[in-house]
Amino acid sequence: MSCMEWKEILVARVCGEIDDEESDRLSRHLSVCEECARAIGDLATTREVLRASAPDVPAAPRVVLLKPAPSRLAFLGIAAGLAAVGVLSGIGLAWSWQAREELARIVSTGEVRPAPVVEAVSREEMETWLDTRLARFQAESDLTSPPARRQGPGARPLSKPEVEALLTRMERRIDRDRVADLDYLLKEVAAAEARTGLQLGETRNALRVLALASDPRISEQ
Amino acid sequence: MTTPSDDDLIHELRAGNTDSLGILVARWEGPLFRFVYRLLDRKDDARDVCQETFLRILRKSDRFREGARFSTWMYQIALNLCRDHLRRRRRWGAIIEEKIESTRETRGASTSVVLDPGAELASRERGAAVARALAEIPPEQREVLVLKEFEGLKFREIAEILGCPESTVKSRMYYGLAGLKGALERQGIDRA
Repeated sequence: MSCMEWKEILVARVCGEIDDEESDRLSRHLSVCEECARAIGDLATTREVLRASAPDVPAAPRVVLLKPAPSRLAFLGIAAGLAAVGVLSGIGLAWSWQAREELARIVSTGEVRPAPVVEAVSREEMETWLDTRLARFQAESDLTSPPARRQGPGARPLSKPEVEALLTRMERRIDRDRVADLDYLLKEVAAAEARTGLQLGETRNALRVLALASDPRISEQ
Repeated sequence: MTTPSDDDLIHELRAGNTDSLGILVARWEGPLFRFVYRLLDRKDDARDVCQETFLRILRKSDRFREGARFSTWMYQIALNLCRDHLRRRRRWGAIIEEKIESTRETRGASTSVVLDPGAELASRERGAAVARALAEIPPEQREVLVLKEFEGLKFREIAEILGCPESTVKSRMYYGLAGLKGALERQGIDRA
């Protein structure tokens, strides 16, 4: 047996979980192998340091069993589709009935790509975020042209590829904004931790602290 | 009146008596929190994971296997939640660490503890140094060290929780202790 093959038996001896037969075999090996004799000494010393200097653990908070949270809005991609429908109807484009049917089909068949679950945000917070995004899209969208330009006998209905391209652009913009928002949120959490000395972590509590911090009537104390 | 065992309580829970979960929580919240805290190193995160662990026990009590140990099942659930938490933290952690480092540098605070070799350390500083050293070793090795040295479990029990052979547990213990030795030396600690 090579020295590397003795490592499990060395650990078993150091932790006191070795039977007599194996212990005898190991003792005979240690009498002739300096490497393993040194290794078992190192293992025992390290273990002793670890047990003697166990890191402090704060007092365990009482566990309060809450009702399961309401189901969260798990798929931003589907929300992107709904947002797209909301934006497009909100700015009053005069689409042909055929284009509307195509859009509904794209959304309902799930061709909109779902996004990863965002676990640190409640349903209410997500809906508020979506409302903000919708308002921003209405302000920045390429399609916010005066309705007169899209109306009248000369107005061309959007084709299916044009609708798909529009949805893809919106999804990418939502994804970029979402990543930027999460990045911003986490930096705010880190800044709050550094400023207050609290360990907030990526939890609902962190979001509550941030919400309080943004209220000018509430001091840091 | 005899104290109900974990098995009795889980059977009661499966029969619909949710009061028995309260007894299990009171019995295990301390050990579970200590275990989770040693892996996550943040009190709020550890509290969230402990609450979620007991919620899952409540919701999935019908999946508890007859003859299994309740503590093993509880540790398995908590360990999976901790791993999910650490994966998320690794994904976004670089941004947070960068922000904290830049903020501390701005304030002029040092982020590392400078130790004189052989100097006597206060107990709390030493514990913090050991915690930092533990954070340097791979998560799968840290899990084994925490379960063995702080929870006092046998190799067989750890293997059951982790779902791997005993030989794998011992191997991780070996490499974990070897890695911890190097990390402790870098923190200036070479003896108990």
